[in-house]
Amino acid sequence: MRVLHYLALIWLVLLASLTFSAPWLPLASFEEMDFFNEAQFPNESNWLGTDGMGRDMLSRVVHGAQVSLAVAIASPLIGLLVGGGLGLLAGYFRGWLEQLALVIMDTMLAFPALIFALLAVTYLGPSLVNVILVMGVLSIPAFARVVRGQVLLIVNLEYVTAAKALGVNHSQILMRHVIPNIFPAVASFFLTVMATMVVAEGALGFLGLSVPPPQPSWGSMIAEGREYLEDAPHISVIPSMAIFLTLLSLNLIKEKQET
Amino acid sequence: MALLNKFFLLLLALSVSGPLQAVTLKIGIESEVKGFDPIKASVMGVSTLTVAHAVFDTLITLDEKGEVVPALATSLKPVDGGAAWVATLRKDVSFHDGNPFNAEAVAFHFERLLDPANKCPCRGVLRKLKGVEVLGDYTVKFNLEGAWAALPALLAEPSVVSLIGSPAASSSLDHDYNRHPVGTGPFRFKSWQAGHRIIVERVNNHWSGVPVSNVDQVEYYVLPDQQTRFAAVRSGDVDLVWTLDAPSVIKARKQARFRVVERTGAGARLLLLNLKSEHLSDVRVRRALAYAVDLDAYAQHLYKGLAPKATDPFGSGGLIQCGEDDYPAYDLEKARALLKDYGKPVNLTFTHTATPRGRKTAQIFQYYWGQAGIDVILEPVSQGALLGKMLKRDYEIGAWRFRDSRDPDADLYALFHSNSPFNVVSYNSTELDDLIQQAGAAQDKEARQRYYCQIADKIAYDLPLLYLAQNTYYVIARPEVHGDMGLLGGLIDVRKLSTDSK
Amino acid sequence: MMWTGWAQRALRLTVVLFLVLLLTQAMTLLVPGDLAVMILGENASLEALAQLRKELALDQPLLDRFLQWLGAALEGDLGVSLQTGQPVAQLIAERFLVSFELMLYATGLALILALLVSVLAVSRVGTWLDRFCSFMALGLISIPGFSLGLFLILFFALMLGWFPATGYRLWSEGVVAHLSSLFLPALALALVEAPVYFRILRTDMGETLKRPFVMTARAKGVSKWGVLIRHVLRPSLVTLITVIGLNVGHLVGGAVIIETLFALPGMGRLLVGAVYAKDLFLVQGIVLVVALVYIIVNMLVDALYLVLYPQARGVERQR
Repeated sequence: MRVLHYLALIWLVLLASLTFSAPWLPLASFEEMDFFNEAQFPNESNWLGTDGMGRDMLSRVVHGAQVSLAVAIASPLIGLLVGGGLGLLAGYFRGWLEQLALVIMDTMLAFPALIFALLAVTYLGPSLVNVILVMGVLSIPAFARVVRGQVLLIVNLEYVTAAKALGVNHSQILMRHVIPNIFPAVASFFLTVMATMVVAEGALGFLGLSVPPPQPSWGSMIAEGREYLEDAPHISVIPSMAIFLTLLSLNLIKEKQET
Repeated sequence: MALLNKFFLLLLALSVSGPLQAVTLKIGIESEVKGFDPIKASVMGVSTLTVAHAVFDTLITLDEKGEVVPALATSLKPVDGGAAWVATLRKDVSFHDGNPFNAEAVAFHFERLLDPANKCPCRGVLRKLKGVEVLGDYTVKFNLEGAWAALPALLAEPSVVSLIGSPAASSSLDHDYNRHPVGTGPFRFKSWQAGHRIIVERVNNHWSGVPVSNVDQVEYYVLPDQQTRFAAVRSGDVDLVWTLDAPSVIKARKQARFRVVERTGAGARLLLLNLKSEHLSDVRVRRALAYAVDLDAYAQHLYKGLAPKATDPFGSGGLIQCGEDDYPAYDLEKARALLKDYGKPVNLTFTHTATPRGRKTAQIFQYYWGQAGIDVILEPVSQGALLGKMLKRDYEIGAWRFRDSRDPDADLYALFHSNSPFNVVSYNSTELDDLIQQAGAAQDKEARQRYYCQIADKIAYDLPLLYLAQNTYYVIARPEVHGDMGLLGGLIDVRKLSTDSK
Repeated sequence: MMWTGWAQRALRLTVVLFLVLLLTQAMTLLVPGDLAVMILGENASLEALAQLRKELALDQPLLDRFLQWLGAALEGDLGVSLQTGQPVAQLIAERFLVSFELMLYATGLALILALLVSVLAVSRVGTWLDRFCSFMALGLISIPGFSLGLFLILFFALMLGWFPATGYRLWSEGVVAHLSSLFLPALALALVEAPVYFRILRTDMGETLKRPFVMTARAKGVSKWGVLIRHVLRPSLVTLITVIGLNVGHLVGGAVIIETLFALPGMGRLLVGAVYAKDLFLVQGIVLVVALVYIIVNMLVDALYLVLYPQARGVERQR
């Protein structure tokens, strides 16, 4: 099992470095079309083959990773800061603040995520920033719930009540006792959300709601590969594998971190 | 326990038994039908007309040479030097609701469309029709504002204006005519599950005589997704499908058991350039857009060499043939030179349908135009939204098509005449207006051909549009289906189809 | 009283429903330009526009409009679809049944799979089989649902031909035909949920197995399977029920991609079409239904929790 965990790390590091160095790598263009070389299986000139319009798959996967990683990192951060903050306050202070927070969280959860995403992208326009914002906002209630749950577990512990009785001010308690104790569980959840974000961006891309062309994204690549499923399945399989490996790595690391 | 056994036997029987006796033909169509009332459904696409065509009849039809063939009318002749046409109607025909088909019904149908109170967008299509007069129980007169050679085609081809419906049904306040059409066709409307399927059933004693077809019931399934549609005909879920998807066609052809019917019709598929937009108002930019695109490669990719590119409005399947044309051929250097001459950096928005075909076209053109130095932003919207935006002139690059019709008059007028409400490109040329009017009025076929070819040249010079490809339609059918599909205008004609399957 | 906590939650959820609906109504403000013009087009007469504005109550403040819509909704009138003129309630009802059934089918399949595999794994605690099951679950979780759907189509429909790739069959077309037309889509959804349920069950069951009462039961001579099923399973259903509740809520409206892939006339596709076409009444109606389902299911799960675990009374369910 340990081997797998190292492999997971290696994949993520590889992905991140490829993504950042993409503009300088000797990759083919991700948008140049070659209609006489459509849907080619992996070969010498195109290591991962070409897609339906003759564009190089390797380059598109690497550039698509930029979108996936950006969303996977930035969106949960929004959720953590806003949602986590909300949950922290709700769980710590309780009372009407908690009730208000619960109502807000429940409202956000009851409002169908897909509708929100569709509406937001339709009205704001598809762009990387908007996708990150939408996904970030959607993850807020989840973070709020988890953080609140964790805080509730900690807040009744003796040394916290003791600190309160001693008159230590709230921000000190939060900083010194609460946050460090909830950190492991929240970090683990953060990894889960990252994984969910990659899939969600893929789903949006599949529906055509993610970053617009010519920028490739893994989800829209899978969608574009649908019509070639029987003859050239690699067009859908390769980006699916990319998502799979990324998710698997995140999940494996999360497992490791939990133990 | 015995009761349980009986229950299971019943379940088994239910699952194994199929529909009882009716011979059913199942057709896969591309889009949801909007509605059957011309006043409510302002534009009727191929899918809507395919279904409507089974339920309604037209007054006449045209053969391959453009000659009149009787349908609901037994004759249609010009009088008064072409300023009016008189139609003699068929007797003993009734609508599906029992009401008689007669001159009053025909007059009512057209007057209803022309009535300004109904605000039918189709009035633009009927532009030269002043009114329809009842001369006798079975005779009507179409009064025109001057000679209009295009009238027969307008009455013959299934469209938003030509399908005659029951006056009682369309004027009744209780009857939702838009969703429950009543016509005179060989099939009667039966049921409609929105977004899923429409069922029509055969009518006995149709005026066309003993049916060639053995089909009792037709079920139209709405399958917007191309892959799904092809999978459906392969698995036998449907008997035949309408498609524009070249890979499906190629695969179907490889498997000998499928029958592939093809038609390259008249007309063309196009992109429209809004002449009022900042950059597009300059003809150099428009020419650059045309020169920058390799239409052969585009046609090769999208249609896999099955459908030819288009370079004029008429297509190789139409009655107008103009031969050589001046439409710009692929020349990237020329495109760049034109843009350099223009001087300013160009960025444009391309509004397209959010379908795989729409997206592909958009990406390909975005790529080509990018090579020439034009920055293009893509704006995917639904089909309805696209039409809406174009009608409001809220777009820069949009999409359109000239129908596969025996007469190009209606579509050319609609798009380019300065008086037409559908002139979404804001094209304003007295020269073209005159040519269109003259072509529409000319009775002599050769004169019309000359006028139309001049129109094609003018369009290729001014470039209010960019051609994409010709109208090529395909039907993939299972081997059990026999008969002539028709496919004029891209419409599947069920009247002659038979099937061996139940 | 055991139920006051539940009643408090119910009240809060009602407030939530109200807010969600109000939010949806507020969406109309997002529509750029005049809504009536957008619906009827620029060529519409001024009288027609005025008429429509009156019908849609566009001149009135948001709250009034909302209350008007709510009043109509309580009577079952959700307006008409701007695309087809059909009553929204009817449209949604037709599609809802399909989505609901798919959701039941998928959850059922997922539960069966998860139960079977987790019982299997737990019965061989610590062996390679147990670890293998966990690893497979991890792998399955890592595959995106839409890829799963695609590959299911590729293998079972296109290559093997065992199930139809597409096409929804009504009940009236035969029980077997109907169920098999829904099988692949339900399986696609189930394979996404099942590993999650499995991991919950496996963890919980693993924990419960270590508890003393299990040893007591074994000592009394209860068979291994008997122990598993009767004593271990029930306490372990805690988290499972919660998660199922969460899933069910958003499955009804969110299985868009699966519906598209398999051409099912469900709510997801209806929704996407409605948003694209800016068919506001339809969107509002769908949001109402989806939110309602989510809230009702959550309340049911809460009630079920209280019934199954009366020892938890007075303590709010830790979510």
